[in-house]
Amino acid sequence: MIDLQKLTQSVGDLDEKTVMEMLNEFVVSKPSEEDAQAVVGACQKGMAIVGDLFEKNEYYVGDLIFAGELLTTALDIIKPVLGQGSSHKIGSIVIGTVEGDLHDIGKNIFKGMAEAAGFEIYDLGIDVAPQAFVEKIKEVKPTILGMSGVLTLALDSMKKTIEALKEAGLRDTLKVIIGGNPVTLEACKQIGADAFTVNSAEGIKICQGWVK
Amino acid sequence: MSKEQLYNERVKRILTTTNHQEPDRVPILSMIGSWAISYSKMTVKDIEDDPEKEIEIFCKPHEDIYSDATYTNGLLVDAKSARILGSESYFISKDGSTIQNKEICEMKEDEYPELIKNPMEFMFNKVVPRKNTKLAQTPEENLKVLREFLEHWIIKGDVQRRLLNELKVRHGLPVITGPVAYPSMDIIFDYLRGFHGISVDMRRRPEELLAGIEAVQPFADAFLGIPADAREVPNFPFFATMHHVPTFLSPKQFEKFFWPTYEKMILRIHKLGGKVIMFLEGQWDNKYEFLNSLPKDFAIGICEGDDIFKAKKLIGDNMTIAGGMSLELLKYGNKEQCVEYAKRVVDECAPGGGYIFTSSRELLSPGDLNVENLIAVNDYVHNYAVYK
Repeated sequence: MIDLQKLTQSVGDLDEKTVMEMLNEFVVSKPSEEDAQAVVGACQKGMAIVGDLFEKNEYYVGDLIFAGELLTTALDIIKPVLGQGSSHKIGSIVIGTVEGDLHDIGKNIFKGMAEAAGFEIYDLGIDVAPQAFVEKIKEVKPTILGMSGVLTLALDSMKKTIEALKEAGLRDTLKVIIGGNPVTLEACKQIGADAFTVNSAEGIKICQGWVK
Repeated sequence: MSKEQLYNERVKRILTTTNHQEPDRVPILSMIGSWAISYSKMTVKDIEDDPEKEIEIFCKPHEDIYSDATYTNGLLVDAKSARILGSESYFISKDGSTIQNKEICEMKEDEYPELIKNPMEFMFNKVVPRKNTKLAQTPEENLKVLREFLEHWIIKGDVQRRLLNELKVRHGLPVITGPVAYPSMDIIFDYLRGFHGISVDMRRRPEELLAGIEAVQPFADAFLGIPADAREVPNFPFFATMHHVPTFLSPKQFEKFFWPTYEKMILRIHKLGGKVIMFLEGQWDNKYEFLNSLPKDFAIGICEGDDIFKAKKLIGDNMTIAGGMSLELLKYGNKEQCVEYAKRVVDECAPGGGYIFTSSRELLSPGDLNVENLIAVNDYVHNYAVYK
């Protein structure tokens, strides 16, 4: 049987060689779906280690991107033995880069880490108009809305989106987190979000706090 | 005082502070990018239709806002160039006045050997046509596109040369950045491998990445425009680096991949008597030891995400720091709050020289700030920040 602790640690260490060796060995052993779920869980725990090391300034953004790549590759290997059983979701987040802004690297890092943490993610992509956020939130009724942006103009789009949510009577039904280079405490207050972050790992922790 | 005298006085003010001596006043830098377009109630398209407009647009803010120097000359990025070449790398935002960059990096991960073997051949013959669809045609068609591109730049180059002169003769205003010192790792990051690619390469193929960075360095050296036999370079305007990848690197990655070639390149500038202004994009506080290892009075760092008060204490003795005026406060605050904050910045950062007052970020989009606040703080600092 695969050593789940070692797997978790190897993902945390971003030791791709060991992770791949362990997973390739695992899938040829004809594991049960349950075992495969446990392996996915171990990989996700490894991502939590990555997040912690990022918060401690031992990992940097490049490491987070690599971690996302590592997890995707790992899940691709496990997928054939995983079956159809759906895993438990701890909450749902609608995310998108706000109107006028087309940068999505930060959003995608957050998305990968949020999925690894057990959230259901509805990603609306880039340049998302306030109304598009409103429609999706009406449809899927998420716990959280995450808005991302890199340009300073994103701040105004975030504010407009929250105003549109208020008009649609949706603001009070969900938590809102904003992320990206230009967001600050002051901007967060002005925009009317519940939280802000320039750090994906911290953003995940904030979201986890909301669904406890 | 003539505009020429004013210009010279301002250059002297800046150079004095960069030598960690106290000039007559704290120099004020305006970091006005594409924001100038919306300030003039124009659009990027207006400039494209009539290139002359760039001169009026980028002179206009200086009629209303005091400063001793401006960061760059006109529009640095050009969506029309990208369109001519068939690339979406730069494009005009919905607001009509902000230009955005879209990362298009077409070098594949297994192509390092080709890059290392012949970087110019690989970049220009392979990667450029992948990124610029109109340069991936027949030689005749490519030539036509290149001709159109050059014709565009003959006009744009002439406009920018005249803009530089207009800033001087109308406003006595120097532009602080001169030639670009482009770090070779940023060339790979910005144009070849991108965010995802370079992050993965640092882990999966570090030796190839390192060799690639070294292979590209001669291109970066050529970009500096310093003749091989040069015995000195002007000490103003400064060579400029707009750092991109460093804020995303750990100190170890920075030390291993970024710093060796970059340090060597800028020390050459130092040896020839020049100075380097660095836009320290993002946060740099974990890389201060590298900045402190540079020769004293050589570099000027514009702090974007760093705490200016800490930066003054930790790197301010070795290099000049610029920045501090929170753009968020200029956007959301009132005049009194902004002036009060500006006073604190000046009180803590100005003593001993080595400080240039400016906003924490470059102004790009229409809603970036309340211009009345900027006018108020620049006037305040101009009158208040006098060395005695």
